[in-house]
Amino acid sequence: MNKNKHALYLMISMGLFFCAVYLLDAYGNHYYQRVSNLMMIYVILTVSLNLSNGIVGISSLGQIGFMSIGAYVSAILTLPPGLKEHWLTGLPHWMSTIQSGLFPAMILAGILAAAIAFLVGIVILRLQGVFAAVTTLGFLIIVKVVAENWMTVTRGGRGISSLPTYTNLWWTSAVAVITVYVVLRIIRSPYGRSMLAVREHDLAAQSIGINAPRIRLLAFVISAFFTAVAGALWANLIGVVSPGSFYLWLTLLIIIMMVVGGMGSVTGSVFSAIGFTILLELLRGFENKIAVYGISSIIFAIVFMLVIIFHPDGVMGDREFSWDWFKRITPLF
Amino acid sequence: MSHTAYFFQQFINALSLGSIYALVTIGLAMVFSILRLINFAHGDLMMIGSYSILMLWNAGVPVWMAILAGIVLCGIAGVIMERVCYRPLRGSAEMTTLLTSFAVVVLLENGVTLLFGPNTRPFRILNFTSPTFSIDSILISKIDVISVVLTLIILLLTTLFIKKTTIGISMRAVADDLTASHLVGIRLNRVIVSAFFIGSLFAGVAGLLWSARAGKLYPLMGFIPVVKAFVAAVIGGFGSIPGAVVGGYVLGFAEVFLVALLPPELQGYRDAFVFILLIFILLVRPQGILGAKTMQRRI
Repeated sequence: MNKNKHALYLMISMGLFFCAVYLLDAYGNHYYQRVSNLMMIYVILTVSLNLSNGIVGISSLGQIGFMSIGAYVSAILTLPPGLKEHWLTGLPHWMSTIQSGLFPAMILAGILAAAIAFLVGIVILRLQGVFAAVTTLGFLIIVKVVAENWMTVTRGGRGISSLPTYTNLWWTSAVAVITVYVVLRIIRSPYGRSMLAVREHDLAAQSIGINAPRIRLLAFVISAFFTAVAGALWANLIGVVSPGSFYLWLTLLIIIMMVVGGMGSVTGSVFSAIGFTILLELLRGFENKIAVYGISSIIFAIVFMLVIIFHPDGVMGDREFSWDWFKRITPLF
Repeated sequence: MSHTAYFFQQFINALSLGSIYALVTIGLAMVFSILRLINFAHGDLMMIGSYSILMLWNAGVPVWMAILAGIVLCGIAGVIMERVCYRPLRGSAEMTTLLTSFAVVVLLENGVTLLFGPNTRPFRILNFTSPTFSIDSILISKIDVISVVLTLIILLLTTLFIKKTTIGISMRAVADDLTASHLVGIRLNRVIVSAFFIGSLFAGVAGLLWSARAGKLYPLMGFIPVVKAFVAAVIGGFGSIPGAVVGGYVLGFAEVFLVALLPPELQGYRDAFVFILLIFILLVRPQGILGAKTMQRRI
């Protein structure tokens, strides 16, 4: 009976959420739409980073590399053919004559990134702790160097601009909801339980028959898929992709969102991504007002250090949202 | 220029670049062997050192004074970093401190950008890069000679320091087993602070050489060298000073000759090749090339 009740609550809250999406999409002003889109993209990024880093315990600093791959794939696919022939001369002919919509671009971006994650993961996931961390960072640098130098496909440092801005709030919020749903389902599946076991004690997990490398690889690939989809959404939201966009700052930002929310908690990631997006926008407004740029990243770094020193589990630890929370507040539930 | 001359020219380049990598790697490996911390901000100490030198020099301080002061400032910055960012985290998970150092990188790089602007500045102190002498059409510039000689001196002094002095011996003990050495009465904080101080001094020297070689500096200059120093440390093993130096030189040679051999249109990919090399080394030997024994003991 409780279960039915919870399903009802879930449906009501989803309904309210999409009503809000509808209202904002139809009547909201451009600025709020843009911030909400970014918010949803950060939710996707943080939740999928949490799958690989928080839930399975892979120390990856290279996830934004997959976002970069996703953004570039989508940019190349959705760029109008005229510009493609002009700028991206290295593309095969059939590719420079087509222009794909957002959905196929997103899916292809995700699949390509997942394939690359599979290959990279086979090597990197054998490594421990800091070694995996720095090697994944090396992967991020490789992606950036390739994006900067492959002039005929990525247009180098100038980046690809004039992309059609297909991304709207429906796309981002739908993908965010799907990401959260998939990651939650994974956590509650036998795979997810194995993932937690691998995180807690690799050797012990293997001794009870869990194929730890495979479980890690699975999480890494799924995480890369959603990260790349977020990259595709990002590219078609902003309209420009350039190598510098997907680098250290974004990497740190997503890590901050994940750690402050709580590594291992999807709920924490969602709320932390939402909260930090708002904070980022407020700080940006403040920066514009006093015309001193870069303060927001300094404040973020300090907040991160304070949280990690005084409350290393983040806000949520690895707890998840449950409807029972409301029981304490009101007898209605 | 004949083939042999070209080869020797590249050889000298590699020697000079390898020396700088070796200096960065020693500092990185020193801290790592004691705390198991990859201090990404080590590269930013290079940046802080170079900026201090340039600012002091611009303010009219004599060159040698500016250089000395900049390097010492670098050491102090390293000690402050340890005290403020890493000491409160002593004993927490490796990943926690690693992520913190990542945050320190963003903090310092944005701080310097805020103070001095994001632009690249010329760094032309002492005309380091002008060729001083040539042997049979091979040009050797001051910076090459200084890099190599300075690195060798520092290497010698560090080895003596590590082998002979009390604090050096304590350092090795702590690297071997932190808890046990604490139990026998070694003052951990003193050892850790000296490791940070010495490592940061080296970072300061490396920063000076790096910016002098490039003839410029910018807030993000330290990041790639420190990640490359990690590659060098993986090649040479994290355990020992000679290992770090060997790793540094191997990386310097690999990089310079890779660029020399690659067709020009692929030269921009240099850094990508370095990290692909890292991935391949770790694929074949996840414990690094020379560091097998140490790594197994530690993990």
